[in-house]
Amino acid sequence: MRLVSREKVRERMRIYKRSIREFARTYKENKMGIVGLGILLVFVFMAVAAPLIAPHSPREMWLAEPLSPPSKEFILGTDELGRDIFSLLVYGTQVSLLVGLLSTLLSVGIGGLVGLIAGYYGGVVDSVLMRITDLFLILPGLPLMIVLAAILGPSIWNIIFVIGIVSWPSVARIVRSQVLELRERPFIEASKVANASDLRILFYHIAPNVAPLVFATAVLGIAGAILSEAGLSFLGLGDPSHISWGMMLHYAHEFGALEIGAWWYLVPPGICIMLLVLSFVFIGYALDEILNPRLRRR
Amino acid sequence: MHLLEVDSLKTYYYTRKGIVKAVDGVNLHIDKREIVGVAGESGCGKTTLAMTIMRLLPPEARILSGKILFHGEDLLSKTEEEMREIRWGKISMIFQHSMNALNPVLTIERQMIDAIRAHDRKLTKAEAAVKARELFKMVGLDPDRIKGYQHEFSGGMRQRVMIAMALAADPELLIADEPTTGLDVITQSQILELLRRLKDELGLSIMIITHDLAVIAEVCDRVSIMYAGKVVEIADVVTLYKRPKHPYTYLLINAFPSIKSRRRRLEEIKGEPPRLVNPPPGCRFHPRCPYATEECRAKEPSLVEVEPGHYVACHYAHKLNFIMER
Amino acid sequence: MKDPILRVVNLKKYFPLRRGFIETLLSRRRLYVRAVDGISFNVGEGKVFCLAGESGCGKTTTARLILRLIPPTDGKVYYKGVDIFSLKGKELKRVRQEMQMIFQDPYQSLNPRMRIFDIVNEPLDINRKDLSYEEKREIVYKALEDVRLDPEEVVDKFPHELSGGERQRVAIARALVLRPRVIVADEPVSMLDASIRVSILNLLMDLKEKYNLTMIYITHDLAQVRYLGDDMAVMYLGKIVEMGPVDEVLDRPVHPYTQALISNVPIPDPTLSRKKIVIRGEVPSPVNPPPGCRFHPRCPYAREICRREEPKILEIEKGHYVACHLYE
Repeated sequence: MRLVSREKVRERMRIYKRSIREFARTYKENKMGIVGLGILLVFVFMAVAAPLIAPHSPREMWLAEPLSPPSKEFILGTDELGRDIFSLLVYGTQVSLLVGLLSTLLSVGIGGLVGLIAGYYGGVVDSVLMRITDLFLILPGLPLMIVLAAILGPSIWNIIFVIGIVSWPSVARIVRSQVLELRERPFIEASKVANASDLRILFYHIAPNVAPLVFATAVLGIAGAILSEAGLSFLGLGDPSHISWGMMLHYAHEFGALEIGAWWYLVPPGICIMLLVLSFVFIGYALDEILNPRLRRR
Repeated sequence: MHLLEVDSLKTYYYTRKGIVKAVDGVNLHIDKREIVGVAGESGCGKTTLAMTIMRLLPPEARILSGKILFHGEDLLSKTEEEMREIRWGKISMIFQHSMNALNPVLTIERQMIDAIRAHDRKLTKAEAAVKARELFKMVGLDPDRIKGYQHEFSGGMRQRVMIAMALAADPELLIADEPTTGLDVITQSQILELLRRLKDELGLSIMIITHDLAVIAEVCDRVSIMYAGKVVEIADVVTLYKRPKHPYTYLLINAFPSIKSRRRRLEEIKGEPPRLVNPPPGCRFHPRCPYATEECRAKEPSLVEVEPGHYVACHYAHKLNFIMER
Repeated sequence: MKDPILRVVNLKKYFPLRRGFIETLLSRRRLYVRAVDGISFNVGEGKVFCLAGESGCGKTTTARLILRLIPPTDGKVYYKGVDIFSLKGKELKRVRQEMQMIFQDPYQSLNPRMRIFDIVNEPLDINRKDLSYEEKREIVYKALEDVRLDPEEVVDKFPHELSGGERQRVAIARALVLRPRVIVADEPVSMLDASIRVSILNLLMDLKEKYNLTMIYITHDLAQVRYLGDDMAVMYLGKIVEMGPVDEVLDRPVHPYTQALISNVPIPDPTLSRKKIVIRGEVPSPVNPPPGCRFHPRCPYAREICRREEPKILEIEKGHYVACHLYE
C-alpha cells in the first residue's frame, strides 16, 4: 500500500481544524447546548478526577456511623454500611458515563450498520433486516432488559450489552429512512458514473451525510441509556462491584431510607441522574438544531 | 392616476447573516388593463417586491420607506384589517409553485367554494358553486370536471385552477409570480394566452414576475428590469427589446439563445449577481459592466426618464445606444 | 460516414408501477411506466447530439440508461461497437471512465459534506490508483482551471459556499478529470440564472472543441438545441418522433408535434409575430399511452390509421427521420 504523503496529511489537518472551528462558532451561540456542555464537563471532571475529589474510598465502611446525616466528616452523610455518600456519588459518575457511552456506541454500531445496508440495498435485504428490526422494536424494552440482565447475571458489561441490544432498532430506522432519501440524490449517481463501488458509496458518501443526525440521536440515546442503567440497578440488577447512582437508590429504598427520613441518601443520586440526563438531552437538542439544516434558523 | 404606483420602496430582511437589501428603492407603476413584467434573476428582489405589495412578508422583513399607492391610497398606511379586504378582493396573487399547493383530499370544487366564500360571506354554498363553474369556464377549463381531485388535473390545468381562484373576488390587479415556470412549452404558451385574454376581457391589470425574458416578450405591455434590489430600466416592451439603454438589459437579452437561427457565439456576462447582504457600491452592476467607469464605482445612478415612458438607471444612458441585431 | 461512437438500438425501459397492497391484491395485471419505449439513434464522434422533449418524454431515463445507471428492459447501447450492457468488471470500469455525466441540479449533484477538491478528485481516487497524490492534485487543479475557476480559491470550500454557476463548473470539472470521450449533459443550465447560462453553454462548447468530446445534450429548450447541437431527436412519450440535423429539423419540421413545439417556444422578441399551432390537452400518462400513434389524441391531422397503427420511423430525406403516418 502506498503511504499517504505528508502533504496530504497536513492539508487534511488544516481542513479538519477549520471545520471544528466553524462548528464551535455555531455551537457557542446555542444557549441550551452551552448549559448542557457545562453540566457534562463537571460530571466528566468528577469521573476522571474521582480519586482526587472523593474524600474516602467508596469501599471504606465506617460501621460505627451508619446512616448518619451530613456532617463535616461526611458532607452528604453515610449509607447503611457507613460508606461516604459523596464518595459513592463521585465514583458512581464513572459507572453512569461508562454505561451511557458504551451501550450507545453498541446500539449506534448495530443500528447504523443495519440501517445503512437495509436502506442502500433495498429489496429482500431491506425486508429481512427491517422485519428483524421490527421484532426488536415491538418487544417491550424494559421487561426484556430485566429478563436479559437477570439471565446474564449482574455485571456492568452485561448491563451495557443489554441496553445496547435493546436500543439499536430505533437507530436502524432513523438511519434507513435517511439512506433511502440520500441514495436517490444525483451526487450518488455522479459517483457511480465515476465507478465508485457500493462500499465506497455507503461509507464515503452516505455515511458522512447520515452521521450528523445519528450523532445527535446518539447523544439523546446516551441520556436514555443512563436512565435505563439507573432503572436496572434500582431494581437490583446492577453490578455490586461498581456502585452506580441507580444502585444507591436501590439500597436506599431497600433499607427504608425514606421511612427513617434519610433524605441525604435518596436525593443526591436522584439529582445527579437528572442533571446528567438533562445535560445530554440539552446537548442532543443543540446538535440537532445545528446539524439538522432544516431546523437551522435563518 | 395609475392603478398601482410603487414609489422608492425599500424592504430589507434582518437575518443573522446581516441585512439583506432585497428591495432597495424601487419605483414602478401599473395602469388599468395592462400587463407589466418584472424581470430579473433569482435573488434580485422581484418576489420580495410582490410580497411587499401584498403585505405578506415574513417576520424578519421590514419595510423601511416608500409608498405603495393603489388608486392613490397608500397601502403601507392601511391596517391589517383593511389590508385583508384589499388582498384578494382588489389585488390577488398567484404564488410561485402554487399549483402544487392544492389540497389533495378535497375536490377542486370544494376548494374553490371555500375560496369564493372566504371573500364574500353573503354567498350561499349553491351560489358559490355557480360562481366556481363560471370561473372554471373563464379560465378555459371544463366545468364538468370541477368535482375532480387535484391528481386528476395536469400541471397546466392546476395552474388554471389557481388563476380561477385568484379571480374569485373579481380583483383589479393580479400578481403572478413565475406563472409558467415548470410548465411545458406548449402549456406555458397556453397559460400566457389565457392571461392576455383575461386582460382583454376583464380589463384586468397583471404584474408578471419572472426570470424568463422570453415570457415577458410574449405577453407584457411594459417591462421593469430589476438587478440586485433595484429597478435598472423600465420601458414598453418593444423599446426595451429593440433599443435598451441599460447595459444589463442589453447583455441579458443578448444572452438568450434564439431558436430562430444559429447565431455567432453569444456574449457572456462576466461574474455573478451580487449577494444582497453586501452589494457593490455605486452602480450595482458595475463589477460586471463592460462600460463601467470610475463614476459608476463611486456614484449610484438614479432612475431617470430618458424619453417618454423609458426610464433608465445608468450614468451613461444618454451615450449608450444599443441596437439589437435579431 | 465514420462509424458512430455511440449506437442506441431499440432501447426500452419500463418501470414497474408501485401500487398499494390492496390494489395489488385486487388486480393481477402489473402496470408499467413506459419511460423509454424502443428508441434508436446514432451519435457521431465529436458531435453534439441533442435529445429534446417535454417533461416525462423519457429523455433523462435515456441518459441514465446510456450510462448504465439503470438496467434496460430491452435493447442495446453500443459504445465503439461494444454492447455496454454485456460488460462486466474491468471492462465496464474502463468504458465508464470514457463516458461521464453532468447533472441538471448543481445543488444536488455535489456531496454537501465534501470539499471541492475531494469532489473533483474522487474519479481519480477510484480509477487512477497509479497516480501519486501530487499528480492527482495537478490534474484536479488543471480541470478547475479548464472550467475557469480559481483552484486555490475553491479547493477547500464546501459546495454550499459556491454559487449555482460555480457548482455546475465544479461538476463539469469532475466529469473531465478522467479524460472521457463522451459527455452526457442532462439539462445542465436549466437551474441557472439567465446571465450565467451562456457562460456555461460556451464553456461546454469550448471544452468539447478542446478535448474533441462527443456530447449527448438533453434539454427541453429548443433554443439551446439550436445554439450548440449538431443532430437532434425529438421525443414524445418514450418515442422518438423526429430526428435529423438540428438546422434541418428546426427549419423544416415535419412531425405535427415538432411543428407545434417549435411554434410555441417563447421568443425574446416582441416584434416577431408568428402563428402558434394550438394543440389540445397535455401529455398523457406514460403508464397507459394512447394506442397507435401516441400523439394522435392531440394531433390536428389525426386520421383513422393513427388511432390503430403505430407509425414506423422513416427517412424522408437524407438523415431526416420522422415517425408519422402523414409521410408514409
